[in-house]
Amino acid sequence: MRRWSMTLVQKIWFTISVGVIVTISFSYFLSHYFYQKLYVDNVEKMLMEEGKNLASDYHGGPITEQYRKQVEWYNEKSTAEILLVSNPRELSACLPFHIDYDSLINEEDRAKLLKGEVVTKVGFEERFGRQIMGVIVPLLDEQRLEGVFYLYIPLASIQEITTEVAYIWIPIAFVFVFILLIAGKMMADRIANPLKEMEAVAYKMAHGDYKTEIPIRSNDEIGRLAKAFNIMAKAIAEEDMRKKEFLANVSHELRTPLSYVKGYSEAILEGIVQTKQSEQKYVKLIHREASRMERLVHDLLDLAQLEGETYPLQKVPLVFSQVIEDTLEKYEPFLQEKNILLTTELNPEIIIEADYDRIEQVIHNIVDNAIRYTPMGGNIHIQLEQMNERDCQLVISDTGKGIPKEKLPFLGERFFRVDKARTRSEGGTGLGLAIVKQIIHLHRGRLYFKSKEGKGTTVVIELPTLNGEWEE
Amino acid sequence: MKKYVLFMMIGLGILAGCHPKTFTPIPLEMKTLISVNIKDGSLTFLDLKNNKVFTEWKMEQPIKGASLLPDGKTLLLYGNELETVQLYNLAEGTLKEEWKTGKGIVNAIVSNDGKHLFFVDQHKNAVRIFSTTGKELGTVKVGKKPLTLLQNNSGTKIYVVHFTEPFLSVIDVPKKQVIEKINIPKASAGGLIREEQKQLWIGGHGSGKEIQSNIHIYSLETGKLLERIHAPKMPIYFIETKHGIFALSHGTSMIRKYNEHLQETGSLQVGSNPFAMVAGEQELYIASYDSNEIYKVDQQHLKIIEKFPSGNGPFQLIIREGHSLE
Repeated sequence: MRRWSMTLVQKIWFTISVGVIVTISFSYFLSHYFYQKLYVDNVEKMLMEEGKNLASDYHGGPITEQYRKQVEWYNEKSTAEILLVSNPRELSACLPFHIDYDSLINEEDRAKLLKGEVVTKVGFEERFGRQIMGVIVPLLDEQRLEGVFYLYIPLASIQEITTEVAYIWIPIAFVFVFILLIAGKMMADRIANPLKEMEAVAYKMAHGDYKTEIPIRSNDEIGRLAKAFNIMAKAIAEEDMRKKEFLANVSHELRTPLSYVKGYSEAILEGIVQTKQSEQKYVKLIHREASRMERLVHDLLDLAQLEGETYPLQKVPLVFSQVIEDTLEKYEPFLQEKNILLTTELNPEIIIEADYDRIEQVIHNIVDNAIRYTPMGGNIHIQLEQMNERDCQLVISDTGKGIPKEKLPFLGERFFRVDKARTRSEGGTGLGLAIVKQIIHLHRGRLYFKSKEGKGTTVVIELPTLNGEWEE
Repeated sequence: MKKYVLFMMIGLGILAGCHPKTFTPIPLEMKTLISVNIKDGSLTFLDLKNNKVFTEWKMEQPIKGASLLPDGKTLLLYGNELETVQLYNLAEGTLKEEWKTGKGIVNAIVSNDGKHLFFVDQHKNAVRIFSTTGKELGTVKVGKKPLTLLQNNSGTKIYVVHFTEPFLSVIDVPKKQVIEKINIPKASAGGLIREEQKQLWIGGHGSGKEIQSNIHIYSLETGKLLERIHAPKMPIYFIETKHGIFALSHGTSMIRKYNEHLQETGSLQVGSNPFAMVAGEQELYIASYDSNEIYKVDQQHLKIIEKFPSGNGPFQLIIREGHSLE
């Protein structure tokens, strides 16, 4: 059995509806209650004043006919019913004799009246056969209860007024509820529609369509969610693009050496190559291209590993200058070959906590590049110094051809080459700086480039020193 | 040790609780006015020699009236909500005896010959005849809601006034049966027998919306209405003394005095809604029900001499003569 569940719109609408109905009915009953209470209180006060006024004309002794007539006259004029009761039986005077007579006032009231207190009655009174609001004022001759004024107003007249109010109130309340419910429905739709659009867009994205954008109509939570959704969609689209580009790059990079290998090997196999010497040359070429492919695959693997955030670095404290010197040693033959002057200025006291092999790889890649792009007789200068209490700075500058300013930001991206045609021939894989960038990132360092075209390039690496790490 | 003390205390408490309540004893030699107050179920005792309130017994029971037994020492209390009538020894202030009568007793008088007690039972609608020792001697069925009891001088005939019947039943005590019915107005209450003049005076509240403002005088012999005396409103208590006949109207709080010729010779407004009175030698004591007071009024001049506070709702007055101490 499927459980019936409400949609968001239904939920919001339901909540609004319940809220509206509860509020309206509550306010109706509350106002009804207060109205009646205030009115009844007012009537009671009025009756009491009237009764006391009438009673003030009584000055003791038996109730005279004249007085009774006056009261009768007044009764005709007054809105309230006024009874002057002097029958002792009506006043419960015979009560101890258990007379089967339903007197107008009971024993309790009589006790109060004898004390000179005014008695109030609200509710059904059998004598009058209806609901009344009444006030009983005693007429006392010393301690004798000579009579009472019984003033009352039928409660029906009070209820008539409240029903009149209800007649006006109820239709207005209905219209109000109706309007609020429609407004509530519209509001719920307004909240839920962008969500529905998002849902649709998300499904489209799942099918590879990143182009649809959610229109942003407001700046509220929903609007901001739509905005964030759009940004996310864009980011995913970019990532997707990068992935495609990367694959294209990889295949492109592999295709070049592959076509070499294929072409030369075919030439050999088909016997186009005449001499042993040329054959040797072709095999060498095949070998070179195979090595290139090997390097490429190696670098790609490296990069893939490094880009996984969980790559395990074998961090140990290292004397940074020592690592640099060890690495540079390997380049002496190449430097001599290209007649490049290498100068170093290394602070031997700087200790970093890092993965030896990876840091060596960083220096290797950068120096490799520097040598590759520095012409014969150029200079390479390497400087290591403490930058501040926490970080050290390694600066490797060459006097190479430099990099155009607009291309600086792209350095470190995979397969980015400043000069596409030339570099491939110069033997790079296009992944060296990307690897460097990733390793520095893993070491929580910073990598940036400064360059002036024709003057040379400076690579700056900032790394936290061991002091700094501890302090953190 | 402490536990024993505690148990003893509890035991004592229970014993004390079970023990009948003891009230202030009323000295035997003191002439006393006893007021039965029905709103709070108490008795007020006035020392008539020293003209002051002597004490008050707060019984806190639904008592409706009392009757003094011929020995002058025992006060019998009754009430229609009580299962028993209670006999108190006034001199000791203790409950002496209880007679199981069942509920419904609304009036009790001692016969003039001192031999019988007559109880009016509204549950059984009967007059029940008891001996002074508490033995029920007989029951006489009467009309509905009997209340007032009157008797002749010898105590052999009793006249029962009902609240809801338009007649009065005459009971022959030795025969224990109703021998006559006299037509009187409904809702009559209170009365007076003047045996020598062969008159039966009957008062009342009036039935329904009508207010009784007359005293009806009937012939004791024929049962015929002889006369109506105007005595507004609601005359319900009568006493005859050497100074005249006194009628108390509770609706107007008036006491009226009549002479032999049934002429009104004086009147006085007294108290608030008075229901009962009792005659002393020269004075009348009147119980003012609404104001909780007892008025002492001079019989001859109809003047208020003094007033005393009573318990809540004085409804009946009894004079107990002082007994000489032998």
